[in-house]
Amino acid sequence: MRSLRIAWLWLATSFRAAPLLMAISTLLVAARAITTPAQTYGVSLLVDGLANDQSNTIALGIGIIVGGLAVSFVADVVGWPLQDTAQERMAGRVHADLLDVTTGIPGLTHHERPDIADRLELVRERAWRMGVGAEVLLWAFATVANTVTVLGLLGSVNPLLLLLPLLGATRIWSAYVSSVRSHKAYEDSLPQERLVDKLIEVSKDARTGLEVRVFGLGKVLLDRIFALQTERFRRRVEAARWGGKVDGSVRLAFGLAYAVAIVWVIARARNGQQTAGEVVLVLLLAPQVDQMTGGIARNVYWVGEVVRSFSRYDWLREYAKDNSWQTSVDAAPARLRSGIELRNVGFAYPGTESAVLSDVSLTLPAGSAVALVGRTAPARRHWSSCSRGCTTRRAGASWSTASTWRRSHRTPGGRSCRLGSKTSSSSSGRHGRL
Amino acid sequence: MGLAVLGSVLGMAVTLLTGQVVGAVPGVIDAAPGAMSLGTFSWLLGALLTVFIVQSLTPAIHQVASQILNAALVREIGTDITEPLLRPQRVAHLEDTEVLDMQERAKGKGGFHLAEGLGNLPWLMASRVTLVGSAVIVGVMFSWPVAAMLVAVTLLLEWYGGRLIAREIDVWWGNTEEQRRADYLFNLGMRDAPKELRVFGLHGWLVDRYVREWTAGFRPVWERRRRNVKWSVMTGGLHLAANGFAILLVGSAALNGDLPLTEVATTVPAILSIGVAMNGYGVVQVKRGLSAYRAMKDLPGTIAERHPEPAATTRHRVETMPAREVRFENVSFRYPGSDVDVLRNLDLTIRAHEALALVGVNGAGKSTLVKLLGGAYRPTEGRITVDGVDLSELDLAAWQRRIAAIVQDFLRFPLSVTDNIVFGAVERADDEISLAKVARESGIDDVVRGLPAGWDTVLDKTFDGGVDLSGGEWQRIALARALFAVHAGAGVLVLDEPAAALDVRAEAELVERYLELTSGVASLIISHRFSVVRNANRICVLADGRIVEDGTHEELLDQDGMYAGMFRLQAERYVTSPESTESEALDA
Repeated sequence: MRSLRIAWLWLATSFRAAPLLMAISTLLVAARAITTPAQTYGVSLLVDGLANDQSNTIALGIGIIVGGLAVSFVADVVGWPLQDTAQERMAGRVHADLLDVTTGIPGLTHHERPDIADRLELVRERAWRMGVGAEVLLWAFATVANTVTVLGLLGSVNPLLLLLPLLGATRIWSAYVSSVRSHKAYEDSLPQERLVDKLIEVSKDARTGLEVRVFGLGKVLLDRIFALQTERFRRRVEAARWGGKVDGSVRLAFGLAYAVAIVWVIARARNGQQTAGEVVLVLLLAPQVDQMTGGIARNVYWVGEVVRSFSRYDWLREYAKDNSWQTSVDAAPARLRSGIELRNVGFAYPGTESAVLSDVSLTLPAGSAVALVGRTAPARRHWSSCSRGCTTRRAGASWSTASTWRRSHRTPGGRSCRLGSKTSSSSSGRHGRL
Repeated sequence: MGLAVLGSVLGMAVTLLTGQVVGAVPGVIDAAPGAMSLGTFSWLLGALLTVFIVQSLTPAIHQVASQILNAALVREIGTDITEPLLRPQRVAHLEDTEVLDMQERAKGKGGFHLAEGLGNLPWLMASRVTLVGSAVIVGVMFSWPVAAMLVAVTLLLEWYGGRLIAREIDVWWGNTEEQRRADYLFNLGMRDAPKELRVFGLHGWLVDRYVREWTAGFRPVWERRRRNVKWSVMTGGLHLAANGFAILLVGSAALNGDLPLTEVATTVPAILSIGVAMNGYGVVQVKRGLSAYRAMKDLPGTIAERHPEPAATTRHRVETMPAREVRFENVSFRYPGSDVDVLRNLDLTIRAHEALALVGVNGAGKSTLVKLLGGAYRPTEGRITVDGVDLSELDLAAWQRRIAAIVQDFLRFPLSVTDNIVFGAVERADDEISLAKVARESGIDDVVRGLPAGWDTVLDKTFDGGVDLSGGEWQRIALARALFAVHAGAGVLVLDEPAAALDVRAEAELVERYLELTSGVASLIISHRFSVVRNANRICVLADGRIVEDGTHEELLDQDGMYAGMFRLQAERYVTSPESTESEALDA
């Protein structure tokens, strides 16, 4: 159920971002995908025609080849710009949607509670992966069209040949694991990259230029940058070597199997069971089956990433729906009349045990300036976020959390309340200079 | 690169051999008289299959090679674009936009990284080899004029396509301003300002604004792309016509029986592969890679030329300076490119082993004075002497190491606490006794005890297990770093606003310890807060670019000048508020 919803979200978001562009692009990529195998078929017709001296077949073969050229012309000239634009629109749409959903949630829990905030941060960081969703979707359409055509052609020669793409599936697997490995190596080294970037920024910041020089940090920075880069280099090379070995051995096995298939088809042809054109077809399709499986493999990783990103987006939407505060429907007053009152308020952050405020009672009369004073930060900060639910934008009362007595003193005619570390001692009184 | 070329040579061998095999197939199958003998055919087929298998292996090898190449380039670039910036002892080049632009170009923007560009080079070479090889095949097998026409059309299109792509990218680059703004808004909503957005009800505004900025950023790109399409249609049509014409020629020759099967089967795939052998994208990328490479190579030269460094001299023993004093003699200074003097005919003496405080209103030039003292800039007029020797004659690097400083925008490394402190004197990084001592003196030891991984905690939340420190905590780290440098032997301690982010209690501690911390070195403390400076041995007031008052706290109060005025203004607030609160508490 959930996976259906995610798939729908992906599809709908892509098409909603640029409906016309996406529709045209879909047609074009599908047409483009069948062009190459179709042209191969054309060549095989050509050979058959020449071998048997049938001018009709020759003409048909040539017609298919030239037709294929025309299709790829349209797809290249019109298709790429359309696809790029659709892709960019999709990226913009996804970001705007995310922003809309996130800022539309009235509460703050998703920014403050660590586990939820971390998930949100992941959504933010990986938003661009949803952005490539349109491209990956188009690619998926193309692959389906291409695979069906290639399989159809192979099957038309002999159904047994369909075993070859099946073998190709192991190549999909090998390329997938090696690309996952190299992506992982890349992502694992991202913190190092960020650190390198920060150190480079420090090196070129004029504001810290003097400090870097008085502490003699130039060489240290360079050494650090080099060490971090070397570590990244090591990880990435290791992953590349591993992937190369796995991928290479599977490719070797696939190549051998294909060679056997070609010999087999030729042997059958000598027995008159297969035509010359069909032999040519199998010969020429070899690199295409190779490319097809390789292409699928490279992109399976991205399909996975896009799906994972959309599932996080789906989570965010559900979260927003559950936390939309639908029960509080009363409009906020346009003006405060009597004031804001806190009665026995206690508060602990969601997901934490310890109470930050407990049993706080306080009145903030309309039209008065109230100062809040206390020892270093924590309690005061929570105080104002907790009251946000009740204050309105045009609240008649203004209040400030001052960090020193000096400033609270300057709130003329106001009241000051001391806030202890957890409970309010609410020893409020009139200030001196009224 | 060799691999890529090998790959395309193999590709052509496959084309050629496939053609031969295909040509022989019907004869062999029918066992026709005069056809190739089965033995020869087997050899041919064997060769084809071997080449096919080797060819299908090359992508795997190529992948590995290109990833290693890319990683190696990235590794080199990191240091190569940073080292030239760190080399000069002065800092004026860091404010020179030409230098910064050049560095930015070398680093690469928006994915047009040097490494990516050069990584495209092998592919470009490969497509060139394919182009030439396939053309030769077409020429030998069919007709040289047709081959020449196809190559000419392909190269023309590649050149043109490359220009279109380059223009599109240029537009894209030119608009990073809007992109940056949109990014900023996105992060504002997703991470940075959740409270403010809700308090001010900015939800709808933010989303609208985001969409607007984003669209504004992309509109020129789309505009350019739309215009490009018109041209692409024309050039693409030419391409189609050329290829179609060539294929039709082959086809009609085949129909007339002029061209044997082998030639047809080789020529048609060869024509098709000339068609796809253009690589406009590769050309553009390689060009950009090369321009980034050029920027990287030119960077050191440009910096050296625009900001020449004084030759270091070793005639003086900098290691023990200052033994007597540092003097500013009639010093005037204006920043490069500005026409306002920050300092004007300033005279100031900082005696060794003296705690000197500098006060003045905002923008009086206090921090500039620190930069001149550290040799980051040269005075426009006048001179600075250390024990009577002009600063410009000293080995500047060695002199800078004599200074330990907290500047206003001090360094905040996303590294461990230990690193952040021992960076004050890296050569003494293992000195744990000094580390413990400065941690106590700066009050950072309490903070460290509360950190998840203690001294090894990374001071940046965006890294694994890292935490963010508050402003005051960072300030103590900076103080610890400077003190660590003093323990390692620095002779001048500069504290520029060391208490700006400290709370009242921490500030009081700093004031108490200040003289103890600075004993034995020449120290210069700058602060807005008079509580911090009043204990100094001597206080100088900086106004209008020169020193206008000079004396101890008591002397300056007696003079009843600028210092006395500012001190009273601030003291009044400190003194009256606790008293009045107490009296008020009594009332209540």
